[in-house]
Amino acid sequence: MNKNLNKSLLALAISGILSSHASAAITDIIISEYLEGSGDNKAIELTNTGTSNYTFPSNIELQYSSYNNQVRNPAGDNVLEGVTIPANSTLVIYNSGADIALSEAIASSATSVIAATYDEQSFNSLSFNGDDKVSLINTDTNTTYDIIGIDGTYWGSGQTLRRRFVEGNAIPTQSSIYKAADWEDFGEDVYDDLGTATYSEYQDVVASTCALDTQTTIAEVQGAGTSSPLITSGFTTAESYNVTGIVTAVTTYPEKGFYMQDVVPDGDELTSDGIFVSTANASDDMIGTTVCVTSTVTESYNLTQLETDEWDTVDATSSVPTATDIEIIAADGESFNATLERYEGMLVNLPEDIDANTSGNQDMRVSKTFGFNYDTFRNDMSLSFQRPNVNPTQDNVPGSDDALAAVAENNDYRLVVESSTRAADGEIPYYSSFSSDPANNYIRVDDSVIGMEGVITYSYSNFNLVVTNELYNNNFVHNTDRRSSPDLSTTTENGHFSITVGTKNVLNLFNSPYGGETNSHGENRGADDEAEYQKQLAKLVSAITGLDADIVGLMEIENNGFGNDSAIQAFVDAINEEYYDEDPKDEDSAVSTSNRYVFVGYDSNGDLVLDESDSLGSDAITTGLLYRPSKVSIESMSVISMPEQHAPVVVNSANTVMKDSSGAVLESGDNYQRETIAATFKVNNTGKTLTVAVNHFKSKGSTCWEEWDGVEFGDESTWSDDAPDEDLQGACENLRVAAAVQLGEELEDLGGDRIIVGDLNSYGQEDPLLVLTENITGKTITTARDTFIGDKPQFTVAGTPQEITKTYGYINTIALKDAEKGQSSWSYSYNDEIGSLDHILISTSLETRLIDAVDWHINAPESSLFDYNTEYKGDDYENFYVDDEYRSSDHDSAIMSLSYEYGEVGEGEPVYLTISSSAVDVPYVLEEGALIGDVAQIQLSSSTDMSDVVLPNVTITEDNQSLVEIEVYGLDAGNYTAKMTLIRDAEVMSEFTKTMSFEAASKDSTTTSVAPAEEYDGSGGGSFSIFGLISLLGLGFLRRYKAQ
Amino acid sequence: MLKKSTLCIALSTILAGATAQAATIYEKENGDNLKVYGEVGVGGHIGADYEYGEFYTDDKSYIDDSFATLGLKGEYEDIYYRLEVDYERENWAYGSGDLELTIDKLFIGYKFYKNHAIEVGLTDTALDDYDKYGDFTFDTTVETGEAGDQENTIKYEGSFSDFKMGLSYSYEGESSSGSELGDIINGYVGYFSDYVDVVIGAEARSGSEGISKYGGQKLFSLGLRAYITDDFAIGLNGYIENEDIAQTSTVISISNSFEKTSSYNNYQTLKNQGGLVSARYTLNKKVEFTGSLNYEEYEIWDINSTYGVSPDSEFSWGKERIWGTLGVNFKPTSSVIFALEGNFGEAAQDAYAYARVYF
Repeated sequence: MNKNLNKSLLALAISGILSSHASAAITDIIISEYLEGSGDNKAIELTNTGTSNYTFPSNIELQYSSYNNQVRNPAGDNVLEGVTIPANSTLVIYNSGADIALSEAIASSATSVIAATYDEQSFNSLSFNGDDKVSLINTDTNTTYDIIGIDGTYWGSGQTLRRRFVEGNAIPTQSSIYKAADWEDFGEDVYDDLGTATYSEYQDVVASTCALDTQTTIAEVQGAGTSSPLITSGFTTAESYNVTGIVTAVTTYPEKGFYMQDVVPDGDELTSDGIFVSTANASDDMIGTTVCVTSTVTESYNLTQLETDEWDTVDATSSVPTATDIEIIAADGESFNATLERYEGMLVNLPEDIDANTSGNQDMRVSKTFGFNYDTFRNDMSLSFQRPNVNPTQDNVPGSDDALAAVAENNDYRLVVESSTRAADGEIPYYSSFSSDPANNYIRVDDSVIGMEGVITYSYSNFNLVVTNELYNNNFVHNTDRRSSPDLSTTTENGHFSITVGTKNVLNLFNSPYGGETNSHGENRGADDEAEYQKQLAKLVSAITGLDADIVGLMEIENNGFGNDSAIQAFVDAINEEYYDEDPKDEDSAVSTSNRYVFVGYDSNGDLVLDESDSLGSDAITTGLLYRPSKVSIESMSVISMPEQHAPVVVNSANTVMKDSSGAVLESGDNYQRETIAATFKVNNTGKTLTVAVNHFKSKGSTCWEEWDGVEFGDESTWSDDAPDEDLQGACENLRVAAAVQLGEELEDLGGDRIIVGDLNSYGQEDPLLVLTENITGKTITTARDTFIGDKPQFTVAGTPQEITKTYGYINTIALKDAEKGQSSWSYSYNDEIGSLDHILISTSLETRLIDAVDWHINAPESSLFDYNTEYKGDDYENFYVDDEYRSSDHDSAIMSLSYEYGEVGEGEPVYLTISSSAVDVPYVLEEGALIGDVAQIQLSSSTDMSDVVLPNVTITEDNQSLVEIEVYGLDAGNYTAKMTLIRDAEVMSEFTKTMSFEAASKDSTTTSVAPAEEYDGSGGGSFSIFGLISLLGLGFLRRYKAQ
Repeated sequence: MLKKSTLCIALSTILAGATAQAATIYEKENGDNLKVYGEVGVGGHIGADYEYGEFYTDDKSYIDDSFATLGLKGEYEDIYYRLEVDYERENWAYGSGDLELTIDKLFIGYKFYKNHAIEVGLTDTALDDYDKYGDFTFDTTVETGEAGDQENTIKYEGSFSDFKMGLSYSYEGESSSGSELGDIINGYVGYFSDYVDVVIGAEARSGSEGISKYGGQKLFSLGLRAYITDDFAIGLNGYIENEDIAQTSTVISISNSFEKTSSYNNYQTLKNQGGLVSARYTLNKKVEFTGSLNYEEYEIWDINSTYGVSPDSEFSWGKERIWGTLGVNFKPTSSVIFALEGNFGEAAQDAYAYARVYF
């Protein structure tokens, strides 16, 4: 048996060697024909030029496009794997949706395989469209064996390209570099040679005929208008021109080619001296040389360009001219696009001052920091003239002419900054120190960009600057630089103190996958692994400690209950670890335990226990509320249910339910938004209360029923277009209006001093903000149809949209303070526009208390490269992570300060003082005139036992001291009346005498417990005497009918 | 003649707490007495519909309504008193469905002037005696939501010529399910004649101030009887009620038996109203026929009201209901009655059948 076995093994080994030897090599396989026809008519012919059969292993792939999409068969497998090409034969890979004529035309001698259609395998189908390279690749070694085409240039649309013999009529070999001259075009959908190992004739490269004596200058080609004056009809001139210029740049974006400028500029600032030459044959060694090009002139998507693969090098010793500063001239009018048009194709520099006729420096500002661009699917950056682009509805009424004008201005001011080659993840090709030391080389929205050089081109309806020089951090001037804490004033009058209220979006802080409680409402939206979670947590902790607010509203925290393993408990625990100094004398220290937070829990199931079975709403994320027990004490909490929409599903004219391109229902009519958590706090050391409501209104991203109202679907049942957004508020503004009404009404019922915080998903002038503040714009504001609070219709059973004329008078604190300071704040950056989605609104009763309100720009201006994620950041992703607050979320925090007076009484309520370490600090506010050496004394009266009370005398330590905190030891919880006097030279200074009623109570624990129930609100009868009841009998019908 | 008998019963109820039948334990020459009285009744609701919220269970189409009363009453000169216990089935919404023994009346009265008396204790509130005065039927018609029996009640009742009036005050009243209502005051004024009787009533309560869902309330009622002939009479009865009901509640404690105590807030006024037209025809001394047409409207039923039910939970009859009854009463003796009352329209049951013996 052993001998037999050994023989078998030997036979196998030998056969393996022999078969290996007999196999053709992959190097014998070439791309021999390319067919990009109408519809799904796509095919690639491979030819085995070797003398043996070749079978593709799994690591050899046919790929296409800049994303190197693997071409798969309809089942989703590598279309090549296991397929054998006989020696000197061909393999045709064709799209399964191709015309039957194509498949029938494939030579019977050929092998053919079917590749997937787009519907079957999306981007892994055979779906190149003429601007994608197609290559044969070894994925183990990342070796490109053979290639046709180039990405980003329409070199192969509607063409059937057959490979030519190489010089000497020899059979071509693999080439990793595409040369257009190696292929012959037979036109669209020419199938007659598919599957046959034939080649076109070898073609010598013909020398350029660029005649130097009949020249047209680039300035003449460009002209003074937006398109070339040489084009009299269509997009291309009928005749060719000889154009000579110095090559300033070779780029591959938006197409492969080079830029050149007139050797001698014409001096006319209305005409550009530069132009783009589209060619796949450009190479970097051309830069600085002077070349002569013979070409027709084309307007390619509004870019004036020449197109040729041949040129004469006129002067190889010339050099690149100095980049021209962009400068506004009077002829530009109000159009910055007109300015850029004058530089189209030129090598330019972004100077400190673009507009010499306006005082101050007008420069280019970062409007979208470096990151992914969903228009171009590339990493890039966007600039705007003299200021970042502001969302049109931040300062303008939605849908108004002013808003539309703002859109136009943003489009006009935009300059997209591109790199010649696609930026690798985590790298800015023209700013190498960014990725090597990002912490010191960050780029923020609103940075001025000075000294950036590049060529001006036009793509995707925007002017682009393809950068040509290397940049350093002095090229980016941070106008709104990083701050480790908000620039918020908390300065108060003597005898007053401040209470700060802030917002913090925690960008899906989920701990359920990492030891936290299970989330019963949805899947993880946060960190991908434990390491990412810890990074996320650390950044958020830094953001909260930096914010340093006494009350913080949270958005996007995981909705996994209020137990010990909940996300909000984990978050609070992590924050409180930063406050560790327990020494009472260090109470004012930044790390004092007095700064610790506690969260407000919601006993949703009414079992009087806060645990994992409680939750706030039914979304996977929810709102949250933190507070410092040292500053405020919770009086009660409530949850405000927000409107849901239950409208009909959207259908077409045949009553068929509309689907989107992925097959999902286009708009079900059922739309939800998160609940609002509201808590009423007692402001410690005063008798005042404060209600804070934390909100996260419906997002702008997904549609509601209203978005599709009026869209004519006809008999189409699939719809891939975006919903129209004529008023520029994004989707679901009507549902957010309904939310604003609900919030306004519910808080009106609660009464008192009220604060609305959170992400209202509404920019400054959008409808929900107008409802909550005031609507002096005259805009008609309407709710969504069919809105419900729980299962009750919000307005009417019919569900008719309601026109909202009532507004609630809240004050937009940051807008108010911005106006006073002459500045503009923002909290969010979307595409390349900034605006405020995160707000702090106060009831008018708080207006006189408002000290300051600001946005803390730690997130919106920052690149997402600085967040906790590790993906899409390249090999050096660790370089980007710092456990600081920057890019801890995508929204900036807003924060506001209010002023309260020590001992200030509320509406008949005693001053609320907390007992700490068996003592209460009774605030004694002194009028001006107290002198060093005066003694403050206190007397107390109460029905509470005061046998252990120690009443100290406190000596005044400075003249005109405004506040004495008299530490009374041994007070039990209860109500007291204090009489405080000032003694000078053994005599009572009666003008300083004050009395104050106060309630002493234990400070709230930093362990959350069920919030006290709201006290009886006095509605529904109340305390009637028997005589009151009798009068009710007689006067009952006179009483108003509804107690609203 | 019948109308006079009814009037006599009513008057005696007001003034002496007596009923038509009673066994005298003793009676002195000066009128002091002690009597025992009572009632045994068997029967119930046939084809009961749980949706109407009148019954404790959805599992039975027949809801037993058996009932027994045993009472003692007596007089010492101008002082009178009564102790009455009921053995009744808790068959109403949220009731247990069990037969329970309860003290129904426990009061002492004082006739301080001719036809004027005051009672103190657990007794009918004043309006309870006349809240359905215009209704000749037995049990299945519009109910007026007045306070009923209450503890801690002081009540005055008296008559002047053809007019009668009553007024009561109850300290910290309770609903039939034991929920706090706050202090309650109600009363009536009635005019009684050979041809027509009219009683108007009113009630107000202070509300529970956050202890139960019941807030303040005001109720006005009207009862009218018109005696067309000796054998035929028609009646009108109606009420309007504005009742404050809490819209929010928060659990504040849970007992060892897992019973929850809540605090209530955001009371909102809900309007309820109802009325009926009834008629009675006396065939002979033993047989009479009754009928009624009823209308009832509760705001909680109204899906268009902010405080009404949601559209998904709308009641089958909508925001108001209309139904009728037709009944026959057979009285083989003056102490026995067999009653059968059929319902049609939007009624809580198909029929109500009952036999009662008074002693």
